[in-house]
Amino acid sequence: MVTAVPALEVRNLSVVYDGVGAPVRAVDAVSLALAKGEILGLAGESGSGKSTLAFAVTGLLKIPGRVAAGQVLLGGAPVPLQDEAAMRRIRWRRLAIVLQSSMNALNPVLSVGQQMADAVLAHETVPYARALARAAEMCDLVHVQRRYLASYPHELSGGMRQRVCIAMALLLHPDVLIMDEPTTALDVVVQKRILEHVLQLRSRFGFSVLFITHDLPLMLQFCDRIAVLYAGRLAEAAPAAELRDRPAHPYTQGLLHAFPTLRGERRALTGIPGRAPDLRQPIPGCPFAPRCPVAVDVCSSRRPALVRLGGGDHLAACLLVEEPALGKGRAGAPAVLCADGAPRRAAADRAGPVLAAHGVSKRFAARGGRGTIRAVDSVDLELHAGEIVAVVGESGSGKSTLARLLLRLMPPDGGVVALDGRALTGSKVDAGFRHRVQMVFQDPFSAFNPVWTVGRSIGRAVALHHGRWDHARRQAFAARVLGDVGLGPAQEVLAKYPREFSGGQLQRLVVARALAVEPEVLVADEPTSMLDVSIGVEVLNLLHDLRQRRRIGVVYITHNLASARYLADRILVMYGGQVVESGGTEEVVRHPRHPYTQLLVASAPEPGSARLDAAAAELALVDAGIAASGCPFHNRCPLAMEVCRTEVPGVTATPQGTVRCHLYGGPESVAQNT
Amino acid sequence: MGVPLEAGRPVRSRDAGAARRVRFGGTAGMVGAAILLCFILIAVFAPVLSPYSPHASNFTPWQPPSAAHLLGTDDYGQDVLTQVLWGARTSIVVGVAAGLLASSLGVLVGLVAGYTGGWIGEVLMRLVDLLQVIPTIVLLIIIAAFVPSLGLGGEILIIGFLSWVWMARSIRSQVLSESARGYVEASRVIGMSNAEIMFREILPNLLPVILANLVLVVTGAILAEASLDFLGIGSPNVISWGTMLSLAFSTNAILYNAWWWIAPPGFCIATLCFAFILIGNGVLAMYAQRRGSMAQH
Repeated sequence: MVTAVPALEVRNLSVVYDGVGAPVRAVDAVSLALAKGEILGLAGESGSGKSTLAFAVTGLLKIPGRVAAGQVLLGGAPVPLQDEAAMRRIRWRRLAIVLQSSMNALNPVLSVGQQMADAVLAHETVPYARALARAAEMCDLVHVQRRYLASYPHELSGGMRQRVCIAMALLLHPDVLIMDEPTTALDVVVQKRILEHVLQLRSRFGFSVLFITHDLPLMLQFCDRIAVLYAGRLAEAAPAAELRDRPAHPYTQGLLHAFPTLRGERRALTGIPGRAPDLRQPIPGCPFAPRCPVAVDVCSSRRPALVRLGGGDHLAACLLVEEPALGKGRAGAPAVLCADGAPRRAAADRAGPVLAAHGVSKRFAARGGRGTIRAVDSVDLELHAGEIVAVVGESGSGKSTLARLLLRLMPPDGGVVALDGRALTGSKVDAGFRHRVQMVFQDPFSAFNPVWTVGRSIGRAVALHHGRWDHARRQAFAARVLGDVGLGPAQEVLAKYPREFSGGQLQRLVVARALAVEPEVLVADEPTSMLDVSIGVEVLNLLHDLRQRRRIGVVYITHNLASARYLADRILVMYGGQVVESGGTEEVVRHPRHPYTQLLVASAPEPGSARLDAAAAELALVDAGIAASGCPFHNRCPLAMEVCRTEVPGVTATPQGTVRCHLYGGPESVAQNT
Repeated sequence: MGVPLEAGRPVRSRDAGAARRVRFGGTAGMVGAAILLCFILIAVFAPVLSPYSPHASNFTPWQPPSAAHLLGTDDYGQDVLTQVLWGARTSIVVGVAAGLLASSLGVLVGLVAGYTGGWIGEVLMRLVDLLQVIPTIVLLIIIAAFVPSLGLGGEILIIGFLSWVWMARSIRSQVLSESARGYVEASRVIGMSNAEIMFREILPNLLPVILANLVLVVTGAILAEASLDFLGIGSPNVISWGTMLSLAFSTNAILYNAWWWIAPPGFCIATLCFAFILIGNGVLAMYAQRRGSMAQH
């Protein structure tokens, strides 16, 4: 491998974005080599420069971005990055790219087959029929049925569109495939299948893959080697297993310990406090130093070199790795990042639930006005004081609608929401309810009114619920609430506008505003999905902390089963508007009973689990949508029976929890009678 | 809207391009504001600036510009310059008052229709549709058939009530997009009343759009006022640019080649409207800059 010419090599590449003021150094002297047939993962959080690198390599950088220094070599020959005409010939033919947004990259007015054929015809002079035939062959390989060639993009599911994009990228048999967050917008089950197919294709065609994602566990399963970028610089590069077991850079260590897991012991995660540096400012030392738990003084002034560990394939840029003597006396420090044992909540309260939903349903008119969609279909949920219940589901499962029903932001079509066992009816929501049930939003960037200071927004929350307090008392209370979420000094924070905060800080402020009314229940709708993992973990820890100290009950809504396991006492799994399974967290994660839960557990990327299997069997038709009749999962279920197609399963209660599946009980009508 | 999209040119830089637009928009806005200020000063100091009394009609008619009459005289033996200076008052007062009236109505209807939705929103928007298809000029002519003269107040009311519709539409669509933002839901969850959410939370976010629209509505009102006077429905006793043009038209000034009578009021109407459009662009550019700095995060 040392002597072989790499399929793709990046030498000392620097990319800057010119703008108002100092240029942003998005990629700073990065060198990488991608061997033939290798899958190299490029990991990093937002602002790490990973997407910029992909654009630079493919010559797709847009002004104001420009390659300031360095070289890109393809099969040993320099790539003419400045020559757009030459790049156009190389791109797709030798270097293809699949983008995060490529699901929207298909032209909506051309059929899939036509677009794929066009990609061939742009590079080769062959008859149209021949090009279309090649498109059809490639569709077979990515498991998209040929009949979809005549379809238009909007008729395909997100997963299928991404498969089409991958097929299109491989049409001309390129040497290198660059995939930039190719599956981030997809559900985990679909994501796993697509990546398995990429592995199959790789062993068939022998191309190399540069795989870019923020999802480190996924990368550990999928890649041969991983490079970690931080603030535009290469922090560490190593074979996947080596990186997982012996991460050398404190950032990699922190990142690895920021992902909750489904297997093994449940550990406390710490995340990485702080925020990424401003790349407009020159960074003389290590860019990670301000957030690094083991940094020493010299870290902020001396730039670490990339050193080879153990003479092997493992590179790291950290002064403490370079000169271990510097960190003397603090050598054990990284272990702090993975402190053990998040305490489970004590036995459930004897008292009844604070907030409950009994058989709530909500239907929406389907798009185009044909029929209705069962967004939430007779869901039961109970939340006790000081309990955390997670609602897990993929997009379209109805989990966000359930959150809005619980918050009484919309009335249910059927069933009731109850507070302290008292059913709440009517559309009027009294202040008493708002006083006790609050919400944490998915998008912290829009949760505050941009024209007001956060002090005013939080002040209004205090004033609405503590109207009799005088000004000084409200101020003091607002300061206390900020202290609860770990922000201060209060005077300074409250005087700022939302745009002056980072995402993580804003999400803390969102929690602070909710706490300002002293609620007993928080409904958190995907509170970390817009945040970097290392920041999101801190928000989860904050929710956990509030439960411990304040006995606040939390309904935690998420698409990520592992994070549900990290935070929750009980888990409800939703699919197609129904709770298909519920039970204690460990019970659901370790012994899933519903076929969908089983699929979810099997598909979740796990840093410790086996690598993805290129020859995985097709267990389920993963691209099928929610079934309109019978069990909503029957069209994807490997165990589906005849009855599943026609009858909606009823809820079967067992000591471990509930499950809604014909394998475990009768149809709905029977269940309702018992 | 008012911000050029620079189609066809390679986008040099979102940052730099935006900055350039902001700078251009800012300069244009300043120019517009300066022109408007000139007109306001003229309107305020018309009695001081005018060489003659506005009602003096004892000069020789049809005189071309001269030292005694810088812009000549009209068919009635009045000094054109005096008429132009006094006319600024009518145009600005009617334009601004009718514009404010239309904007208030438009904002109120757009805000309520957009935020409340449901049947209230539906009814309001159907009303908007209805008003939009009424041909304004025809309606004015019909009104003129019944009312001999509107007077200044009547003109303001008529123009105001006929020009809020477009504003309501544009405000409503902005309210719809604001309502989808998290802070509106957050306000509901916190327990704010609908009135507070509409007027304290959403309304301030609409300010740039309101201002940008306001100047367009004012422009429209100035033109409408001139049209009314030109059609002879306005108040014949009030001196305005529209009345001047109307009189020039009815006495066939163009056939006598009396350009000094036609050009000054026409030029003033065009320039004043242009000033408002420049100000509108400036406001939008400032707004784009603020939005840009928010989008950075």
